[in-house]
Amino acid sequence: MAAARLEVRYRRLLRCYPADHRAAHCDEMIGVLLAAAEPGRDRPGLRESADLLAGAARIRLRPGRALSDRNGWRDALAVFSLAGPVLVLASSILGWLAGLLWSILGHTGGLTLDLGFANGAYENLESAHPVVATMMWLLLSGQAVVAVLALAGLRRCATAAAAVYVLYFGTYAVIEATYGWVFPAMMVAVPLLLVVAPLTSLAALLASAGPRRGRQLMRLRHWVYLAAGSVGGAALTLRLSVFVSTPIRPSLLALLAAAAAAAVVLLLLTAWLSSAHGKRLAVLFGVLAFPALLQLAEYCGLQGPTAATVYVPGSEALVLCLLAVIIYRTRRRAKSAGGGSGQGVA
Amino acid sequence: MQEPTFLILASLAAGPQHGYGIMTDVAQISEGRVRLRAGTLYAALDRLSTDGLLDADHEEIVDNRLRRYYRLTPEGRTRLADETARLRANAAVAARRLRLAGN
Repeated sequence: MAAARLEVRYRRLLRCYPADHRAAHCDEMIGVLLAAAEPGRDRPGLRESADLLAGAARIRLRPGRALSDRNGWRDALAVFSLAGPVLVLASSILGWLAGLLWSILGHTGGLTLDLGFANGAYENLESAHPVVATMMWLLLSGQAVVAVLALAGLRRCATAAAAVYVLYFGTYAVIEATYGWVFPAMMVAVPLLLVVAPLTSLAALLASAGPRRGRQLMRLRHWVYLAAGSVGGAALTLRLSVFVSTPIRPSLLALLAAAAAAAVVLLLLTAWLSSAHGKRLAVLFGVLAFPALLQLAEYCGLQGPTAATVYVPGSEALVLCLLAVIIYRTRRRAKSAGGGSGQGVA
Repeated sequence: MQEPTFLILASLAAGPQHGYGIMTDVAQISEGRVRLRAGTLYAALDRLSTDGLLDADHEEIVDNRLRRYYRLTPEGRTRLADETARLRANAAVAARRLRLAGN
């Protein structure tokens, strides 16, 4: 009985290990732990528990860990290199169609001055600030070029297009946040949305075997999830504002946007978490929700020109660092694996 | 190379061993100084297999428990030989200097 209880407790501790390591070594480790345990013991000792936790941490933190998930990040990035640009474009188009429909129905919801992936409320574009109109069409065109090239499996062309997009809008976001030409200075997170999604896509295109490999990995259900995510993304970019005839305070919009972003991420999390690449994809899609979280911070008092000049470049740098770490780890892992299985697919 | 790593490789030098066998062998080789626990052992095995120094050899079921045996790869054997030579050279220098100081 004591041995059975001890085994249950060991198994509980071994949950700290990565899933692939557990799948390969859990039973073997249980055997070793039980063989080493003193007779009659029914719970792991403190040192032993600490040793197991430290071992799990060492394995998790090691770059180049070569087990069954050797290509985990690489494959997740390959999926994202296709799914990311498609999600962004589909969200924008859905948002645009919803805005158009709203306009056809005779409503004048009013153009919100915040761009999502590319805000959908286009019905008043011509009467809006000319820079906004130009910017929106530039955004949409850029997103369409990257998504079409990714869907065609042209990795290098899609990477080049995404790089131009990121460079242009990355610079624009910093300038916009600093000088507030088009947007109120307090909406620091808005310009950030322009650049975070394509930046993540660019990282995925650079670090993985590319969209062709992503298409191989994606099953029908993943496309269904992507469609659901696009609807969520459209709701996010629309900010629900076209459905309300009276202007909404930007702070409330920010809160609604954050809630919508959270819903999208939650949807993707629950749908994908059980799959092999689920957790990693959840991280990548979670990056897209980052500006919305920043908006929530705005709502809680993070406002003003200083915040704009500090937080937008700072946040861009933060996202860039995160993506750089993912690229570095993926590259190193691929190197240690002698090129990786997915390398020749692109 | 850290001592536990050296001892793990040394315990596999004579032939394939399973996890518990490595633990007891390491304690024996080090005359009880180094007592590996399972967490440390499997983190080391994971790292060493990542580095290509050892590999899984075969598996067997004993008392309804899985036993996986590990063996040194040729690269692991070379690394162990190099490390042994390095330690031997260092030990020889240290012994020589101690003798000189003693005289």
